[in-house]
Amino acid sequence: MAFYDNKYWILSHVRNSFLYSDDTGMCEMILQNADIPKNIREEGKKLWFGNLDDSEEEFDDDGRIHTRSLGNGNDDFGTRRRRLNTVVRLEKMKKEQQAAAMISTIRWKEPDLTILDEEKAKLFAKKEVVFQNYKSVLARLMAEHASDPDSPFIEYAKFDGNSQLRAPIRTIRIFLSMQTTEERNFPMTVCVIASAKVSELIGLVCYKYSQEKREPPLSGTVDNYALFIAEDDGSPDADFPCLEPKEVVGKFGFTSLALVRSTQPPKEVKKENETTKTTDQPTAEKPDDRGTVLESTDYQSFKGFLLHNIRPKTEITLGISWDQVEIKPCPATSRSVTTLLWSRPNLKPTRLPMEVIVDCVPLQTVPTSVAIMYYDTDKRKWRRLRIECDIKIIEQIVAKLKFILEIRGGLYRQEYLHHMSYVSKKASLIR
Amino acid sequence: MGNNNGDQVILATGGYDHSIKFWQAHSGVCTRTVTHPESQVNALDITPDSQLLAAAGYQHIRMYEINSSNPNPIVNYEGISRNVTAVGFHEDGHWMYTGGEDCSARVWDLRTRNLQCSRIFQVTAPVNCVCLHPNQGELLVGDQSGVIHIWDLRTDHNEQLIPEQDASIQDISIDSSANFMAAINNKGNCYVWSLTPGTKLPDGEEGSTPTQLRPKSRLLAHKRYGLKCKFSPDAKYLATTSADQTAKLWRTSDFTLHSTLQTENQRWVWDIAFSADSQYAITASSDNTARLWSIETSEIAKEYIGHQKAVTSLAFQDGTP
Repeated sequence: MAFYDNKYWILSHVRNSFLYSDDTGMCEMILQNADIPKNIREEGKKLWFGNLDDSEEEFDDDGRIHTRSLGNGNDDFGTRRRRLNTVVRLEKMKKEQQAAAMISTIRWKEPDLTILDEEKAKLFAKKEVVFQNYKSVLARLMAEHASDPDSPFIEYAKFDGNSQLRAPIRTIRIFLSMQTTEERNFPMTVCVIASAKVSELIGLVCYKYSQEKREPPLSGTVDNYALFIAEDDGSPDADFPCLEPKEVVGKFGFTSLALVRSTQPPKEVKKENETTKTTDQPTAEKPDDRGTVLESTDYQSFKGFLLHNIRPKTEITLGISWDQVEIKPCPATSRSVTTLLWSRPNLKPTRLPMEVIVDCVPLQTVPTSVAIMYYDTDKRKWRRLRIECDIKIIEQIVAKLKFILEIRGGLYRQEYLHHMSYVSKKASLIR
Repeated sequence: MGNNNGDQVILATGGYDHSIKFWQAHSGVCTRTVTHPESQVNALDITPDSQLLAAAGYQHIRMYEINSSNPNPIVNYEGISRNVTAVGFHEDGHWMYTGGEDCSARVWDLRTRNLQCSRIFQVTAPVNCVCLHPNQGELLVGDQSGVIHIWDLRTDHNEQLIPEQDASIQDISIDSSANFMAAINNKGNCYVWSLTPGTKLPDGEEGSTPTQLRPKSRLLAHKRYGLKCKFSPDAKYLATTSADQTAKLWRTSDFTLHSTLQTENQRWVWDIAFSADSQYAITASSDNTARLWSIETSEIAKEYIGHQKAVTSLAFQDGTP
């Protein structure tokens, strides 16, 4: 009933009810051509979401309210999504079972008609009504704290992800660079809803900071602060620019960030296809930083050998760009008879979209080679590409792929990371 | 913190986002969030000993510890079908009363686990509200067909009154001195009766006659649905809330309008509570926000922001209950 003042909600509800309860299909034919008027749709979206602005995910133009779908909504990943869903649901069920075990349940018992009158008299006796004047503790506290300034960041408190059952959340450790050296080693763990923007996350961090009365006190607004990727020791990684304030936190997979005060609000990073750089640089970033970001996501190719299980290695060119990883076999040069016999001519160039790539690690077993892990959507399993090349090139490949993967995130990568952390937890338990 | 030292201000809000939040009322800070999964919160009430918060939802009542960090309930009362729409307690905490869409009002015996002395009162329409008379012996039950039932718990005697035909009773309130009773319906009309306590039965029989009601006033309070009505602790004001996005305060001396609590972003005002000195009121609205208002100035003193969806009920205890 809380939404009965929302015309769009009511109209959609009525339309959906007609559509789903009509077996003849007539309603669908008629309603297809009759859209809900745009002004009601706009008003409805505003009322429905209030502070959250993710309207495009739930409303569809034909007036049907769809449930939120996971990831990009790409139907190729249909079965993949089912698997992810099961994992998530199983975990949820386990947690609920644990919680339910701690709750005592009392079931309604039908009244016992043989209850004695005396019992009733005692339990339901009427008493004399006396007027009592109580003092208000609230009024006293309000008076005492009247001079307290409102927490400047209180509007960001709603982005806290604690106890949010349905919305996806991100748990991030924030290193606070404004504190003393010892305090800086203990990051603040923040749980934020995934749909929050980076600027709202900064606001939430500032709010928690002032709530916990950490020193020194913060000043200014969220525009004066920026979040950087944190290095292992908690200091901001100056090689990369700060996180874009308008970007949604859910896109990133970072677990550690550093909060830094900047004297100027950071400028927007230009997209990679633009070649001109702005002349006025924000003071928070080094002049080269933006260049590094752009270069890191540009196409780069490396020469190496693709290792196979049975066949000898084949020479390839590995191409890494923002969107995909490409393996191109090199044309045959001077080869011995043996290799000609062994190497099949049908090693086709392979293109793997970046969504299925989950990791890139130097191989332990073969020192000058690197493994690229990915998910094979056709065969529906995790696979590994092993490439042998120069040590220096290995470092470059690993750095570039890891950087792209960190920024892109992605469903497969998340599941992979989740699986790896589970495996390592299990391993550490056994130890 | 284990016992109530009389200094505790407890404010809890709940609604459609499957969570109940506890707030530090004087600062607006959310101190704790507990989970209320799979159901919206229809009503909230604090036990008289300030230890537990009862949340009425779909087919259950869940009890949460107030002075703990446990995000889950510790007791779940079930065995009811459909939404439980009202919940409250006897002043000594001996029993809990509920009302629901299953057309019944129930009394749950809290003294033992096996609900020894449970009671049930069936009506013919879904129950929207239940109010305990300050004499602790009569329950007033308002249902969707527009009938108010007065149920004497001691004798099981019941009386009915219908202020307005077919106008669903949304809320009933009695002031703490039991001088007045108010009921608001879905047409936005609020009816007030003056109450006289029943007299002791003759010939030494146990119990007394039911409370007598005399119609006093009819307020055309709102033009849209009425949602809640509540007397201030000093009985000087009667508050009514509505789907017209306002809460109105009426003087009980002459039932004229004292002030209107409204603001641009506020949507349906689902619930209201007064501070113990009747100087402040807290409203819950479907714009996801609860607000603290100063009665004197009609201005917002604090906002409680944090819920992701509509806030439909609140529970407030200002020091000693």
